[in-house]
Amino acid sequence: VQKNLPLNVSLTRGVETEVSGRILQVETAAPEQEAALVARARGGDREAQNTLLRSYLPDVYGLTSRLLREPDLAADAAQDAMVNAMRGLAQFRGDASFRTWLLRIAVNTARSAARKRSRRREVDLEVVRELADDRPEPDRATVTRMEADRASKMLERLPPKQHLAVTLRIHSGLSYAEVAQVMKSTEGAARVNYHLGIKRLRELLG
Amino acid sequence: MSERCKNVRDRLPDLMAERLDDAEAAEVRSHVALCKACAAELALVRSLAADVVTVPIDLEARVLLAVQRKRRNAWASPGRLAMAATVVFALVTASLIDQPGREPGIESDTSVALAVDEALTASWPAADEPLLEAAPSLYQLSMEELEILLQELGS
Repeated sequence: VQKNLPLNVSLTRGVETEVSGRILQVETAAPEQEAALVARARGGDREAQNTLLRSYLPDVYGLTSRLLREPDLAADAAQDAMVNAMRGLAQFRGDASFRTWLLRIAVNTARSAARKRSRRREVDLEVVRELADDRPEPDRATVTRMEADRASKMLERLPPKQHLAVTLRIHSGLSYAEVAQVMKSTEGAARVNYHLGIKRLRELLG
Repeated sequence: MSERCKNVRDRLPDLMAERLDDAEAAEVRSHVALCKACAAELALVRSLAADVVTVPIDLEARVLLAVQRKRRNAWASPGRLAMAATVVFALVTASLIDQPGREPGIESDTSVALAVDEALTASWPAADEPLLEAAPSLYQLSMEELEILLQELGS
């Protein structure tokens, strides 16, 4: 295992992410650099583990955020995904890239959070119905923002597999083969889900 | 939809992410320039890709802290607490053996070390907790881990 790798490298691949208001265009990771870091992390090197956490957090949060569309819930899910990944590092066999493996964990964590939310929403809906009459009209700024987010929000109306395939393909920047690894499906199924999702989105957006 | 349209639409996310080589990108762009349906799909892909997510400013610190906590909890797992108890038992037993009037010799020191080693070897959990794989014996623990152990022994 290579011992003297710089630990301040970012491994996230070419995905545009905004951190605290700054948009970062991060460089593509060298696979051997990623492999060396992962090997060190698996060996218990905490500095390597922390480097992996820092490097992939924007990817993981980006995915949970788009799947859940609720910042607090997405942050909790991203945190849980990272903790689970570090706990399960020994189970990473390298069949897929570390990033793909991590995104799969993030998807599972987000699914679990979504299930809890749907149970909670059943209760919340009662409160919303009671308050509906007193709710103020949204102001113009809110309306503009709602319109700007329309395309992304429409994703929520897609069936889960199509939503996931479109998000992984467009936002996480995965190939169809990688989408299939995350979704545990065939590459053909990943491709079909992506195209059905895009078709449905076009219909929804008129 | 023609095969050509299918092929182009398949690669639109790659075009957006600049993952196509120059020749492929030019081929996709020239088709999109002539095909309204593919141009509409590119516009949709572009608007989706433009949705940039802002990572909360405190999330990185939160995650690092959560992982650190998990490591500590893993350290204080039942298996390790049992190990600590066994070490204490070994030390107490050794101190009872070293009664006043008896010369504390090499033999008793060795027996303490052996007892501690045996206790550590016997009760150290299997390597299914990857975060602690780097600390296989008491002698290789960091100061932080030793402090945690001492706190646990003192409580």
